[in-house]
Amino acid sequence: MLSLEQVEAGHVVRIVRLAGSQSFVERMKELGLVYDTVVEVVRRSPLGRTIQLRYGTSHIALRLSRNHMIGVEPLHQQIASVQPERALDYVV
Amino acid sequence: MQARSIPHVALVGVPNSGKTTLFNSLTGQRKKVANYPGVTVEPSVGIVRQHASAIALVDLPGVYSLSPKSTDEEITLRVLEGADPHLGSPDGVLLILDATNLEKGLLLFSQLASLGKPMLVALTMIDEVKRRSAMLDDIQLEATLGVKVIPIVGVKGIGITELRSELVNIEHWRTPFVHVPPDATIEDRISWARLVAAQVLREVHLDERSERIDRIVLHPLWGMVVFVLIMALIFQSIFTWAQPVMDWIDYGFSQLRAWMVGDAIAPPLWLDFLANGIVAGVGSVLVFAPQIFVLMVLVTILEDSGYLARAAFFVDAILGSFGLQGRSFIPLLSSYACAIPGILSARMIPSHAERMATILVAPLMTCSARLPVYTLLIAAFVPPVLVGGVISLQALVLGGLYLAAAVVGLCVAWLLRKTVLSSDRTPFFLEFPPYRVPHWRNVVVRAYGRMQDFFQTAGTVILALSVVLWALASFPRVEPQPTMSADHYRRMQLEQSYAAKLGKAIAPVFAPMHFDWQVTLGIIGSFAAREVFVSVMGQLYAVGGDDPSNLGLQHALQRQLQPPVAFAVLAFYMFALQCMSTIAVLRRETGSWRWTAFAFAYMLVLAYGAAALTYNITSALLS
Repeated sequence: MLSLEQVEAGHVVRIVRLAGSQSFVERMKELGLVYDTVVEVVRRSPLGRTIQLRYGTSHIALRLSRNHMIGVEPLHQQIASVQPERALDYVV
Repeated sequence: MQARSIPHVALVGVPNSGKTTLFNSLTGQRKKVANYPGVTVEPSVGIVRQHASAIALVDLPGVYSLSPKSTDEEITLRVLEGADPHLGSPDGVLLILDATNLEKGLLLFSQLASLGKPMLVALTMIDEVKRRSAMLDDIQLEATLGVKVIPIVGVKGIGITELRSELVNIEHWRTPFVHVPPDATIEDRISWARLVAAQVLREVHLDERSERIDRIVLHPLWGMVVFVLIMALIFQSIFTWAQPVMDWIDYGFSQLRAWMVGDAIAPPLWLDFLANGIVAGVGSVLVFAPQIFVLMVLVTILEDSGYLARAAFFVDAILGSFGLQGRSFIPLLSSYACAIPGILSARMIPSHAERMATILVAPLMTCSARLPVYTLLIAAFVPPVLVGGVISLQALVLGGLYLAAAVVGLCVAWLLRKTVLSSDRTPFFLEFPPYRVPHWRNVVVRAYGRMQDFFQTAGTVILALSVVLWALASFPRVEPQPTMSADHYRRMQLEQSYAAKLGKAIAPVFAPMHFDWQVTLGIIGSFAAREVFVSVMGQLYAVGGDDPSNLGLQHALQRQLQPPVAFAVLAFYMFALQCMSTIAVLRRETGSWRWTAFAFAYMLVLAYGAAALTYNITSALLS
């Protein structure tokens, strides 16, 4: 398991764990970042640790902190490249 | 407060769902309370009329769920639960579903359905979905949800008439199907929402246009260029578009006062009160209107276009290292026009510590009321030479004052977050809406509303204080001598007044930087609004007029003040919280006199220290 923060830009991963305060975990789930959701790290902020995520039809900016993490597992690259023009399917 | 003779409907939706646009199209401008950048921070009530019927529509801050995580989200829950003492329990709920963001909207629907209230759904961003050549089945959606679904193209107003007819017809609304039990987990709700979204929305393509724009706007280099250009445009527009209008307003009011008083050396008390108390007070409120309006128009355009969220992504990393976050950007940017809308817009920051830190440093940003003071003192004391043959030293000093305030503000925020407001670093998130072309009517209506609220909160305080200051400066009365000129008499009157006594009593406090009682009086006057300093100087040095570009006043100041004193005054104005309206808003938003006192005290210490330091350094350099 990796932390979402460690994922390089352009890579597609699957969420396997949410950890942190209850309100953080709840909010992430409300945004649709639940277990098994496939997300792409679109880009990283040039100035720091803020990242841009894409999943489904959503785009969000996210900066995690030491006590709040999203655990992910890598997906095979070809899944993302099969249909590059289509929005990512939620669950693979 | 609205009489409960007509039904109340709560307008709910996730953030960025086009809620405020729809509210404006439905209600026109009949707003009670304005909203602020980023979110609707207080319930605004508007009346929707169709034929002979009417309902009251309550615009609520956007929420993702019914478990609030920030102050503005709490407002929504409070109103929905009927816990708001003014609004009571709503008779129905109008949910906005953003067709491009269906999943989150449906999650919210599943929770609202448990409230058991009659509901209506407005499906927005239909045009956006069509543009991405997706297929949307609103009939299927209506069948699934169990309530009427009305597709809307907000900008063009398509569907608005039908929505309005349905809205006022509240007795025919249906109660939604409860698909997910009230005690279900968020995962269950998300699964349901995804299922429904997949049924009604097919062939969703990526928003190619937004992706293309993002590739430039969020590019490490070009993104920075775009960001700097947009910020430069904002500041430029405040100076070049708003400043002339402000000068006209200022000139208009001083002409009006001169005309009212006429040739009289000592006008009768009532006329003096009217001209120099009321009219001057109204003038010093109205003079802010152009800047606040221009800034609010620009902020609203940036917000509606979708750029503001990207800018927040960009600056989040910088603000994050000072213990703030991307959402602090809008409050701090707005504070460059006026701290009041800035402080209010901090409500959308979920973390208490980060919100407080943002609020406490917002008044350090260079608001527009400081500008007349800066302009006057810089014009009088900084030589108009060119540095490197390109940029004038005066512009450089002015720019330096703006920049230094921001840097000091960030350092104070960092210090606060390390000490009194320490908390774990909280995560930051912000949704990116797709880019859209802002609709001018919506922009103007919202900017106007934001300006109106400024007048309601700040205007009354400024006007009241102007009257108090007039009274302090006008009593005890001095009898005019026949040989006196009007200017001479005004100076005499001021010198003998209670205001002067107050200035003289306080002046010893400022002994380290050699502020005389006149400067001290200017500082006291600034509690109404900082730019009052200019008119106090104008009256004291008997040159008349309160125009900062007035050469007579500049020369008088050059004779009266040592340059180090003038620079120390500049430093003092950079940091001091000498604005009663801001103090009142700080009290309201922090909910505590202790934090308000703390803000006042730390800024006073900063201002005093900076002034003393500036005085000593410049005296050493100039001697």
